[in-house]
Amino acid sequence: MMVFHSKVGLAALVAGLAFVHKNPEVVAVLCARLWPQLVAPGQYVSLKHPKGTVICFCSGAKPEIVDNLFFTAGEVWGANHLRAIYVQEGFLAKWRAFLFSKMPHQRRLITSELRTIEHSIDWK
Amino acid sequence: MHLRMLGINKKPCLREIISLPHFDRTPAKSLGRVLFYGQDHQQNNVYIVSLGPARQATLSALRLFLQARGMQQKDVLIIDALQCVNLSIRVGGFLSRRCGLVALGRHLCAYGIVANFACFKILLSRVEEDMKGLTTWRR
Repeated sequence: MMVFHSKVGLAALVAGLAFVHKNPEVVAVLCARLWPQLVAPGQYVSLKHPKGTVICFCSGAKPEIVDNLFFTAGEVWGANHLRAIYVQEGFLAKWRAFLFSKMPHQRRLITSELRTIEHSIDWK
Repeated sequence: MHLRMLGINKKPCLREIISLPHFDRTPAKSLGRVLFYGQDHQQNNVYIVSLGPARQATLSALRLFLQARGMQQKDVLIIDALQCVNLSIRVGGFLSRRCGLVALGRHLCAYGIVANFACFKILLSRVEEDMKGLTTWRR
């Protein structure tokens, strides 16, 4: 299981979608469709991947606490199959995500998130 | 109290509370860490975790993790102890952790716990009631 998390959820969603669907067109379409499910901290979107589940998590203002939780919980309960990755968001991510969910054709609104996708992330 | 590190019938003294493991010793950067605290009389493992200011997100992450780990609701009991936190504990925690006034803050925090001991006692009785439906889950 792979958990991508970010403050607003936009970067996490883009990273998660890019991890599952490599095509940027598909990522953009699904991002606009799924982002409304990530509006509040603690909400998440679950995606299917051939090797397991990918979670895109909105961790709110303190992502380091969520990072600590996943890391230590994995150590304490021996969940080595789980990997949590924090993804940094660009400027005014919440507003851009909101506008993008209303205007999915304006892909430049999420350009910074699409650019920062790390394709080198391996499944654990 | 649940692990019987503190008596449940008699109010503890400040020293007893201050000497508890991890009491007022979690730095801000360690918020969210899951700590094993002991095993109760029914062999259930007891863990503590500080959820921090983004409580909703951290709690959701914890539930998500437990779900991913294959645990069902009957396997685990999550107790929110914040309901027993009064002003004295909050101010004490703020002075100790944020302002660095450890001696003053820690004592104020311990005093708040002693003053609100009845609330913790009620919480403990509710937990023991809820535990009847819990299946034992070892580390």
